[in-house]
Amino acid sequence: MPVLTLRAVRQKIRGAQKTRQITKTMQMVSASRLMKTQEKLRQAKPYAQKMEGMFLHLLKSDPLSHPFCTEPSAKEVALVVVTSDRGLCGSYNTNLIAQAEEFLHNHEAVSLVMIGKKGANHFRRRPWPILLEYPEMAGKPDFDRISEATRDLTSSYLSGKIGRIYLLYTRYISALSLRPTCVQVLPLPSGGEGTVQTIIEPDRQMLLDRFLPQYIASRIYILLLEAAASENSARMIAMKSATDNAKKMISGLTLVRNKVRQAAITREMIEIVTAGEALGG
Amino acid sequence: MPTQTFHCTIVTPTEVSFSGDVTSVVAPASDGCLGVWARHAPLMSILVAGALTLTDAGGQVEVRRIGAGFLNVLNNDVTILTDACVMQKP
Repeated sequence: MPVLTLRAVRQKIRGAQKTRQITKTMQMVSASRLMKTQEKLRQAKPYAQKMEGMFLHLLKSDPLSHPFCTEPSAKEVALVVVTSDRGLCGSYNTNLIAQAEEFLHNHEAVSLVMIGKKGANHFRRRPWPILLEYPEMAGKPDFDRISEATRDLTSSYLSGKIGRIYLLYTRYISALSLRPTCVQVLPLPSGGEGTVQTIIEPDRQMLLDRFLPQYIASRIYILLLEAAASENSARMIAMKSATDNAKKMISGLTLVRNKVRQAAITREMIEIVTAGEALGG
Repeated sequence: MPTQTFHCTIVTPTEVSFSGDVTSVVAPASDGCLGVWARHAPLMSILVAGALTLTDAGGQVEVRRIGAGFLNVLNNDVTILTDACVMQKP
């Protein structure tokens, strides 16, 4: 082991303490953001559930003949990849990007839609085309911005630019269980039982045209809120880990510092004693 | 004979604005007001921004202003989906 001066050890300890302060703060901030996101999710679920209820009602009333419910003719598949904007969230982005790469491997003709800068930075250098990018959305999903993004996606779908649309996000099962999951956004199921006679105002086609895009937007909103919860959880756990490691380092370095200090004192004592003897004590 | 009630929920993307039993709901549809009483047939409608009137079992009338959205009536349960809902100031 190299001989460390007392000053060098002290500097290392100070460095580790500063790191621990930063990681501890980031851990607490992420924990608080996680709570807020979960609250937002809790508040948003009733709307999503009622939208789902209305969609199911539509399915029961008559088979849905709408471009959103029919298999598209375009062969080009779109994959919406949800990563984070900022780093320091452990394996959150790497796990999701790995799943995205697997999807790209298994499908022909895929175009990408990027939500989150980390994913965008990775796939910029890869051969697949990036249709749309949405930075500053991943951490704090906003319903209005998501409605806009949904409009971009649905107009590409309707114009035939892309066919099936899938969304890859990190599902929040628990704080420790975060799972990259792929869901199909379009086309929607078309139902077809026709068991309930329903009055539709002003008319069926107008209602479908107005309702279906909103329905898709509310689904995507919930998925992005879950992804934000996963991101905050991953960051909280990564920062806790970093904080614990910093604490261990500080303990270890403190022991080293004490040993070095005692060795220095012992050396001085020996010098004093031998100097004293030399002077004839 | 007391007027029958049914359950009505008003939801927005950020909150449940109202959830309770009412005797009637009058909602602003695109071609005029749409009134719903108990045991209404299954119905779905586009709603425009405007006044929404709820009447409870005691006859109390409450008026709210809602943004555009949808009305869904199924199995004697009414849901109003809208982007915003505020109490009408008297």
